[in-house]
Amino acid sequence: MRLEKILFQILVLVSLPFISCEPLVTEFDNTEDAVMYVASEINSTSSDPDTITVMTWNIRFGAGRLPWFGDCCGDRVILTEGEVYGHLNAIADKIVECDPDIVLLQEVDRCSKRTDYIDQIRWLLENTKLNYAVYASNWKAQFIPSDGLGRIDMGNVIMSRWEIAEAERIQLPLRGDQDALTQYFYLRRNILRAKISIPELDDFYAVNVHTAAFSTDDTKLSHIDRFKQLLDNLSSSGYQFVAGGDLNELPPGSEITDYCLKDMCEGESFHNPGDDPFHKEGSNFTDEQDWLSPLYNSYQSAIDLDDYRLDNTLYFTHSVGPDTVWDRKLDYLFTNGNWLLDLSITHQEARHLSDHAPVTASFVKP
Amino acid sequence: MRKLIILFIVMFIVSSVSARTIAKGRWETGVFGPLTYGYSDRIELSTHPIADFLIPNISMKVSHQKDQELLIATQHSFVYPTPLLRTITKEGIGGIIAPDPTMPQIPHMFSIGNKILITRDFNGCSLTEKLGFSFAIVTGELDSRTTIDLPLVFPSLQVYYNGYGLTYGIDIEKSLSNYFAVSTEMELAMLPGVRNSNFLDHRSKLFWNPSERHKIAIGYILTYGNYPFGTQWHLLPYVDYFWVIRTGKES
Repeated sequence: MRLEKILFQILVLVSLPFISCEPLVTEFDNTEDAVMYVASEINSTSSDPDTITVMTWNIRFGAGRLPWFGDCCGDRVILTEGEVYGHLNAIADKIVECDPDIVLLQEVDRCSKRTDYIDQIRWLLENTKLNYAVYASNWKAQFIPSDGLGRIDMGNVIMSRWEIAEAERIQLPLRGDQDALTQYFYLRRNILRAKISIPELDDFYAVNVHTAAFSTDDTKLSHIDRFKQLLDNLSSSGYQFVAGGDLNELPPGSEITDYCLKDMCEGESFHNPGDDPFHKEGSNFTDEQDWLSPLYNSYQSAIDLDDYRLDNTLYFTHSVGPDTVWDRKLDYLFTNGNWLLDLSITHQEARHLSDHAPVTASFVKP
Repeated sequence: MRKLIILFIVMFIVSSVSARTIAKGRWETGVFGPLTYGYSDRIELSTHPIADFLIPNISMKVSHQKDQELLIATQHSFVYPTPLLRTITKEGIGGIIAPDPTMPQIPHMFSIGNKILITRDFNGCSLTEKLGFSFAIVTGELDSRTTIDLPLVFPSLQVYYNGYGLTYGIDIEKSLSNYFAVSTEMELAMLPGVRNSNFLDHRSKLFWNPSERHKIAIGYILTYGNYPFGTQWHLLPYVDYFWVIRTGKES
């Protein structure tokens, strides 16, 4: 079996690049321009708003709560067109209902076999009141020869009512705990930074990130550190920002930090002598409890840490797979300005639209 | 073996044909090209023997006219891809088709291809026109999500989703010397009744015959096609080595 695997890996490496002159997997420079989108019809915007409503949401590529194989012990791989549009409709309705000015989305597909090659960015632009969007791919390959995934292009998106003057994709370190072949076909996570032209507000940035979920080394910490570093640079340059995303990390002081048994799939075993791995990848946060402290210490969180500590459950934004009872907080909004904290909302009612809940907050325009 | 999917399918596409048949009793093959046998002076049989384990296939070329100036032949092929497609429907590495429980198992299906080949020699060149019609018999539901969306592979399997398809191609071959020859060809594949389903292949090759029994081919394949995600061009390298296992008796 081992020999077969090695031979196959050699075969893949040798033969697949010859399938096309287009690279099999797209690799990225450290910084690149993001992909720009403009809605076909521009909706009117407030000329001088007092507050700016910001939303962050990992929309799980329009899979809703379907038992997708990659993240929740599921067996689904390729969704039908009807399934994807059904979820996208519900997501668009929720965005319209929350009426945000800026939206940070994670896990958005735009040319993936698993989601019927629907350009979800274009579709959401045309079906919400947002006018502009930028995209930075996390995972782009013309063919993933595993599990029938095929072609994939998934990434982070920033949508805005106002024009996006410039946007940059900033590469994050690749996972350090994978073999070379797996790493080649795996995600290339990034930070997406966009300068948004808001009236009467110069040098305003939105920053979106989706950090490593399943790394077992310090990759996720390095992603959080890079994110913080970028925010520090913006702040020290005198710029205003709203930033957030799916940090795949718990807030400091969370009551539960180990979800291995809760996330365990049938046939798996954790926490028993001899279990290897002892913890489920991406489910144990026990040694990571202070990883977000620098962010909380430096910037204002849309959900105040003291409020969270009073009752964690009110602010949970994630649960795995078909389980629609939120059980942990992974999604965040920060600013170097001020949020109207009374207006910060964790939309836990949106439990069927994704495995993450959207979070909205109102940034007070200085 | 089962992980050679892409090579297997590509094998069926890269071998070019003319209206000529090989001599009776002659056996020849290529690394990627088929094993070909001259059954008689008029009939040539070919198959891809390694691929036969997972994708049984056979092709027969029948010469109808062996005139000095005009050669006419028909080619008839049979391909049964179900075992291969089922083999690559799997979880994990090597899973080319998703084992999604909402997708029915790949049904038993086979295709029959028919081509008319007309070859004419002029000015040291050999011009072959190819007009083909293929159809497929599919015994159950073939889910549209099972397509393999890769150049060469995707169009070659489309006949099973559409039921039938047409091809038209031109091939020009010229001998440069006793040792070298070149060929260039163009083939258009169409799926009548399906919007945006045209595929165009252009191939150019240089052949080197170091001896009568050996031939090396090198070249490229330029493909254009309408895939589920949009229209794309691909430029692919082409290399093959052919050798004669047994020479036949020239008529």
